[in-house]
Amino acid sequence: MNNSVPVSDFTVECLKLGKTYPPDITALQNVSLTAAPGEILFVTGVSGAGKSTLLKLICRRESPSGGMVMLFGQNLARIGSAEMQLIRRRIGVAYQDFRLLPDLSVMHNVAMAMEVDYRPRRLIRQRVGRLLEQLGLTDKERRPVSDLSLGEQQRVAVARAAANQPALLLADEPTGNLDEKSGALVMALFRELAAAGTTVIAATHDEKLHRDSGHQVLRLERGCLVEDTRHEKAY
Amino acid sequence: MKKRTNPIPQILRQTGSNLAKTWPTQIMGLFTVMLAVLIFSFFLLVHLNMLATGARLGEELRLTVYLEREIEPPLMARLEQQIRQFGDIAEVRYTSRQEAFARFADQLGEERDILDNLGPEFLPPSIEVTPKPSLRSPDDLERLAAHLLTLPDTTRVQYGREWLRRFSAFNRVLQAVVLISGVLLILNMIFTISHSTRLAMAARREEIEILRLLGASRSYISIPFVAEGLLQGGLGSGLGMAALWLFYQRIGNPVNDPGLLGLFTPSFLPLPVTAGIIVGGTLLCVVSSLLVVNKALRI
Ligand SMILES: Nc1ncnc2c1ncn2[C@@H]1O[C@H](COP(=O)(O)OP(=O)(O)OP(=O)(O)O)[C@@H](O)[C@H]1O
Ligand SMILES: [Mg+2]
Repeated sequence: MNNSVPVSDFTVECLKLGKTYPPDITALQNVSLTAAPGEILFVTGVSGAGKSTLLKLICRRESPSGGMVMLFGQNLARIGSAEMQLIRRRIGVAYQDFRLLPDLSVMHNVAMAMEVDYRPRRLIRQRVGRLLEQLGLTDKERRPVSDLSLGEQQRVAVARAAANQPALLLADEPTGNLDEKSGALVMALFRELAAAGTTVIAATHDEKLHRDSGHQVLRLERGCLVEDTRHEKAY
Repeated sequence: MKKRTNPIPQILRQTGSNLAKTWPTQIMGLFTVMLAVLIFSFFLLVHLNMLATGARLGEELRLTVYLEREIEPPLMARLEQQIRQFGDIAEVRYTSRQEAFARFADQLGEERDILDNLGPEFLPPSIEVTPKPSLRSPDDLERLAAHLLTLPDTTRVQYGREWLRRFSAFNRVLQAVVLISGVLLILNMIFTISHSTRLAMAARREEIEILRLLGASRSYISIPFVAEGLLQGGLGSGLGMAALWLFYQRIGNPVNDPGLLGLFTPSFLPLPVTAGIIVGGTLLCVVSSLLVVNKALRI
């Protein structure tokens, strides 16, 4: 558990990543990318292009059929399960299907991410309170998640992913159910995290979100990388 | 931001919230463990007391060899030698007609006048043989009695033979009951606790999955469930013992009155046995839930 020495300048490096779901559904092919600390990266593409699959490979919810993922300079495939749990606490993930506990309150759902990292109670209350305020959820904080609208649940998922000020934040369709105003709140939070060093990778088909934002955009098409704004010429 | 605290309070909170969610199963488990401990330790209590009573009675056990006629000391010395040849004999004592008559008169006390017209002749002389504690089983005593019957001038040998047989058979049955109820106790605990742990985990399946996604350590997830096993096992065994103690106070003490000639003086289970049952029960429950949790989290 030696996290002290950074072996790589990148938070995430993907090398010729491929994923084939059984029986032979190719969701991702030969995708290489890097993401540095403080960088915000958008992964776009039509539905079914492989955006969620890419994020799942990066946080090891799925294992690649080819290629490899380096996370914080370590080969993801070689990390033992106990250490993987430690690493998971440094990654915040906002899932496309939220994965919240519907019976628990908004606050409690967000706090869980910090509780598993044994953060002090006082700090948890402060941080959760501030995040919910930033995302416009303060008046809902004591409500069970099941009472919330989809857009509200989506923001709770983002708040939980951001709770530990993770080194890497993966957000799958973070604004899919949001109006422009709430979408802007989420983007503001991403920028704040990135300014503090977090690498943010967001999958979205919401053009408005990244157009003219100045952030990097990767476009996937049927599992292949067809555009990378950083290496325009390469494709 | 990387500030961390002692994980124990958080794990305790997690355990508390687990308990709050599944308490009906927990209570059922607790109750089952308690009942199993109560039943097992009740049989053990009876068994140990019977053994103690047997030992106490054994101290007063002697065989009386009735003789046809009085025996002179030289012949008596030879007889004693023959008796001791059997081995494991603690004491051999001759009782003449005269002594027997005096003892009988003593026992009669106030009513001794009924002996007025009788001489000592109507009571036979006898030899009282006390075996050593190593010679107390019904079979050994029967062999000793047969040996004594071969002595010259012996008319009959008397001891509480039927009673001894029954007592010893009863103790053997009790021993079997203790063993069987012990095995049932163990099986019951394993079954109850694994079942209750499995239910508790099923009730929180979704939460366990999310905790893993968030990076919770294995112990963070499993300790609350194992703690439930510990609570059920520890509290259940403790309450079972407490129930036995209350029962003993109500039933055991009244038996302990002098009406029964002080032959039967019950005592509660010794402290090490009591502690052993509680600790053993607790450990068994902890191990049961640990196994279930480990198996569930491996997949
Ligand atoms: N578990 C799975 N088993 C089989 N096929 C899968 C599985 N998950 C995804 N796929 C397939 O892989 C392809 C890529 O799916 P993915 O979820 O990555 O797309 P996406 O870009 O996130 O789409 P959306 O915008 O609708 O969320 C799709 O064709 C999908 O049907
Ligand atoms: Mg998707």
